[in-house]
Amino acid sequence: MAENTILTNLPIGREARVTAVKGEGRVTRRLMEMGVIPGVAVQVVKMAPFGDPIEVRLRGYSLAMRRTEADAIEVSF
Amino acid sequence: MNIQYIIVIAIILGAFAYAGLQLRKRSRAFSLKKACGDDCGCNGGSKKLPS
Amino acid sequence: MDTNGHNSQITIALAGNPNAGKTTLFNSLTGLKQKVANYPGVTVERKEGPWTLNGKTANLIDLPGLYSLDATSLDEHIASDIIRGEQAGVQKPDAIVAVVDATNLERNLYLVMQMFEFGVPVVIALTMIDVFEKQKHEIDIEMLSARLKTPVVAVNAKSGRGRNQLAAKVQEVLHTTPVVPYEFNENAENAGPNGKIFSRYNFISEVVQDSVWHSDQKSHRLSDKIDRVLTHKFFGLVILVAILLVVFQTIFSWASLPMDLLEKGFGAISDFVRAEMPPGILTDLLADGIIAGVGGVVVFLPQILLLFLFISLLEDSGYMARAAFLLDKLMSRVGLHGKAFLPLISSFACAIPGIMATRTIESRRDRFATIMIAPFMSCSARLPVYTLMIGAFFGGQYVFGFISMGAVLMLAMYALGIIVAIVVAGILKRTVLKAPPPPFLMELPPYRLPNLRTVFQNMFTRALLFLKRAGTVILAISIILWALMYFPRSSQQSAVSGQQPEVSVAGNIPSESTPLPESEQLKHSFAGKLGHVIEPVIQPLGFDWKIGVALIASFAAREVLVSTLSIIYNVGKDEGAESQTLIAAVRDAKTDDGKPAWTPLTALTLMVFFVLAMQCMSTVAIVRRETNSWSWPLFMIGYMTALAYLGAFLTYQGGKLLGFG
Repeated sequence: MAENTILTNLPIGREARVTAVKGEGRVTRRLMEMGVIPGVAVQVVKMAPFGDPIEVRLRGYSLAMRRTEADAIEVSF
Repeated sequence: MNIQYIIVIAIILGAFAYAGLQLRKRSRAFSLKKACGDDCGCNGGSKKLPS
Repeated sequence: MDTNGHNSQITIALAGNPNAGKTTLFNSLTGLKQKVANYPGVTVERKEGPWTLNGKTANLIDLPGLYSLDATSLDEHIASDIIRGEQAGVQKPDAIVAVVDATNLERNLYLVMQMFEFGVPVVIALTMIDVFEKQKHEIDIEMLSARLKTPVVAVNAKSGRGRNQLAAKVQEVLHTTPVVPYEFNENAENAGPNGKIFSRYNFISEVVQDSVWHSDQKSHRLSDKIDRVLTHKFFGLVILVAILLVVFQTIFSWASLPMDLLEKGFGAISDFVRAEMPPGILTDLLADGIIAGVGGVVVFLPQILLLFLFISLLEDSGYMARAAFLLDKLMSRVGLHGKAFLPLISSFACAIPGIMATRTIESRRDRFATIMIAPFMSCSARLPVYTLMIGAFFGGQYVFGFISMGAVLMLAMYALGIIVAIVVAGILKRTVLKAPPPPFLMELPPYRLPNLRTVFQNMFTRALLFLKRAGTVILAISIILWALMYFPRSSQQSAVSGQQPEVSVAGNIPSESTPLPESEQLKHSFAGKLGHVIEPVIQPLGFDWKIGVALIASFAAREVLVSTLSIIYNVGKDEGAESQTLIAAVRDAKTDDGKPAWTPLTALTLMVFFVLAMQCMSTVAIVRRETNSWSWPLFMIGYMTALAYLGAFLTYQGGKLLGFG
């Protein structure tokens, strides 16, 4: 049974797949160009001090992003 | 002493001239041809952080 | 064929993601024969070099590292303009060498997809194969090449292995038309403006599936383990500070011996000149002006070298990205962009390339905010000043028994700059430069062993620049300063033609035919008079007029403070006194009343002044260029000078109040 949530709430280490990337701005586009598109496998690796930014693993590399960005990414695991 | 004096004055004038040239170079901030005044070195050599 | 109608030399563009090994490859393809300049009309760095293709020399252009050709930042605009042949002054490339990192295949190929769409033939240079295979993955290069419909050559960016094959393939594709290996599927999934992105990545996923065998995804294992410690929620920051302390400590201790040697060397040269040359004005100029002035700065070469060594090591190893990760929260609180991190770090070497690096920041306001605070990152020119002050008054003391006071103070000065920068940025972003909080999207590349060749190349270049600066700007200023301190001569001197004998001035002058002692001469020279004029202004800061002269001079170039002090204390030295090291001279220096001119508090005050003051006209010029107005650079000069005065004032007066007199 698949659970849906946003990337910010994905437990650390749990693998998931992106289902949607919300937003229409430049940042969203940039996120997608970096490979965050529906269907890709992601994993939250860690969070920085104060909880922001977070480190996400996808497509074989590590990407750091703020919680605001991660809030817009819906995942399912 | 005399020859020394002349040499010194020449050197000093040279220094002033050089300084003047440098000032002109710096204030020609409009000119985008020469990026830096050979000073700090603007090729940087530093790699870019991703994104 | 090109748009400008020039007789075409073959032009090849080198493009790829940051961290893919592009610059390393560029270096090994062009040797050290690169040329760095600017693109006309913009301040983006232009890097080109000769690449021999089978006897013919092609022009290889190193494009800025980028993730996408759908331009958002200035870098990306330039790169895409170049590839399209629309960048003035640059020939449209006849081919593109796409540097693709095998360990990061999917994301790297995204850029390549876009290149195909531009209609320029592409050859893929696949780097980091060795790392890839060490992680027990395999890649079928032929399959990859077939699917992508473009040649793929495995290269080792460092050693240059594979470059001949690369050159051969490039020659093959010249004058051919590339084939876009996929089609945009106009189905529902790919609708909308982002449809192309999905198309590209979907195709990539297929290709990668067909050509790559992944073993159990154990990549980044070691990097992750290291990161668990270095970016730990709490200890991460502590470790960052510790690393910085160690760096400063090392710079101090390793540099001290070579610096001593250099100083003794210059002292010996000066003594030699005095001994061998007939006494006279030229000898004075040489010994007290040129050698003292230029030598005073050159002694710091070992320090500068070490500073750059560490900056390079930290950058190359990938630690800088972690530092950015750790500090981002702090930076974003003041509205600073995550991308501001690298320009600010670069500014620790020299603010000028740092300010130029802000072009990667898309938002104008964020960019300007970063530019405004970049000079607070204590640049390498301040290093001689800090070292002199610390060496003279805080040497040999230890905190907690093993951390040298010098390292702590050094760190404190750098930290002061950073703190002030953060505060100023906060104020600016809340008022003049208000803008929505910037996003933060940054790759954390795996840790790498720094490429020693690059590191040493960097150090060497830096050393040359430093020496060049010493031999030109600082030499000229030293000569001028010396002249200002030497003239007018206020005493009778025999057989000096062309100079008015001036009335000898009050003091214990025995007779007309004996020249005034040098220390008196200094007071009545141009420089001396100027110094006395500003003395009232700087007295609240604890400085005497000699320091004042040095302070004024340092607005031309920060290191000149050291030169000037060296000259002043030499020129003002009476006949027969032995040459001392600058540190000794500073300790012995006296004000006109005979009191010590320097105390630890004064030294600290001076350092604080230097942290905060804008003393680099080149920086002002760059700011004027990058902001395209005079109001910003003038504003910068204004508020930084005020801040410097205020800071120094508070330090000195506050220190006195607390009893540190």
